[in-house]
Amino acid sequence: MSQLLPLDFLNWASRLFLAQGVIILFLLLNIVSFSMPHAGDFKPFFLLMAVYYWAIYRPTVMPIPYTFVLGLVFDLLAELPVGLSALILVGLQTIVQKSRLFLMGQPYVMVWLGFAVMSFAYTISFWLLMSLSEFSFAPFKAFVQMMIAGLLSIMIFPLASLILQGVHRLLPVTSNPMRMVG
Amino acid sequence: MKRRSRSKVQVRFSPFQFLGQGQASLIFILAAVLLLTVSFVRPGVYGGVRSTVSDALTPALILLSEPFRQVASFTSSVTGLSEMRAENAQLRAENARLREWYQTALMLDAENQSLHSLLNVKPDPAHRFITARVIADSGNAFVKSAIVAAGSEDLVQKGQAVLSGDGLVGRIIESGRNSSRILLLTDVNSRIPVLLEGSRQKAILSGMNEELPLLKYLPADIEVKEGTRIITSGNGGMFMPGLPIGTVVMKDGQPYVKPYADISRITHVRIVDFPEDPNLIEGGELR
Repeated sequence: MSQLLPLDFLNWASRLFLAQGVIILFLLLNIVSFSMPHAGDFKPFFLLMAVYYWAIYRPTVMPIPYTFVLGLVFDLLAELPVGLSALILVGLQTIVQKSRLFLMGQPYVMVWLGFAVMSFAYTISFWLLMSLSEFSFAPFKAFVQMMIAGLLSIMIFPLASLILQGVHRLLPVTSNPMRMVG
Repeated sequence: MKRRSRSKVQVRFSPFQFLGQGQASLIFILAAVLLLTVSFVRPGVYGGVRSTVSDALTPALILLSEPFRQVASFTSSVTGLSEMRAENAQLRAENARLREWYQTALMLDAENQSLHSLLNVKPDPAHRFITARVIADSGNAFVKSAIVAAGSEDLVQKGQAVLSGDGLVGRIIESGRNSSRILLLTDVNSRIPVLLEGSRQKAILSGMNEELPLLKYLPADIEVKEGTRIITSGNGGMFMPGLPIGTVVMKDGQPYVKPYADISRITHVRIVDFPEDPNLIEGGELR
């Protein structure tokens, strides 16, 4: 077995953490203030983009428990009922992972369309769960604003998937340090 | 050679398709449903965890919000260049007008002091302002809240009023070590006790998740005039009394309030550090 040099290890670790860093960046982008009027009302679904992309192309980067925790963190930061985003993201990730074989071989337009469907499902389930938490229908205006945010997400998705694709190419072949050498 | 047509993917819709291999998914979906039920039944139970999480991520959020802030100030400085002369003239006129009001205010303050001492009225405790920057919004259209980069280390406490620009924008609902959360007055859960200037009629300002919050719990026979100034009443010891909020606008026969502050465009806030009335009884969840 060849030697595991410290530099190799650093290289492997930094590439692995780059992928995770980009995921955390997407989570923070969902929350950070854009310093624009009404920015919070029309925020694109960055976290959903990351969840969708990795669920199709490399589920081990973003396993289900990890998505669950990230969803919880987002709920805590966004003053939402805790568990709401976690539930929707884990549910959507499960659906996408089941359709992996179908989506992986498709041209990019189909993947984009798949994201549009997921975005729509995200909005609808978000609104339904928020209505449930208030025990009355959540404001329709907010629903419309979220639909617009969904449209923005669909438009931004190619850019986001470009970034994620770049990170994907940089990823090491395996995330198991024992299998790195040889 | 002719290309083979793409073989059709067989999608089997068996009822148990989503079970079996997706055991992890099922467990976490159930866990999420459980947590969600808890937060439906007892909404305030995650307050401490929220503060901890926002404290932990505040440095990253401050770092991440910097580029957006720079871009916003750059665009405003570029567009402002052309309007600078007009703005300058307007500011000079406003300054002259405010100087007159300053003299009047000093005179009224002196008169107020002498009347207070005559009637032996206990003066309101002194207040001070804590300035803070907004680093995060709620990220969705259903909740109107914001996170600021000031916490208990800067003497920010739960229940303090938050001003921005010309008027009230909300109040602090959670205060961590170096970050705090504001509930804006346009949020559906926001209820602020207010006073109509002039008639001294009390009411509650409740957010509707719209641009304009609604004045509720006014007696049916009260006539509310458009343009009436709304200020905080300080009822329940919740806020410092007399903070400006906005003016009344009538919409569909209902009295809404147009806030003085531009709530969609908050970048810096002033938090009013007003000591609580020591005569108030401990307890209750409003505070």
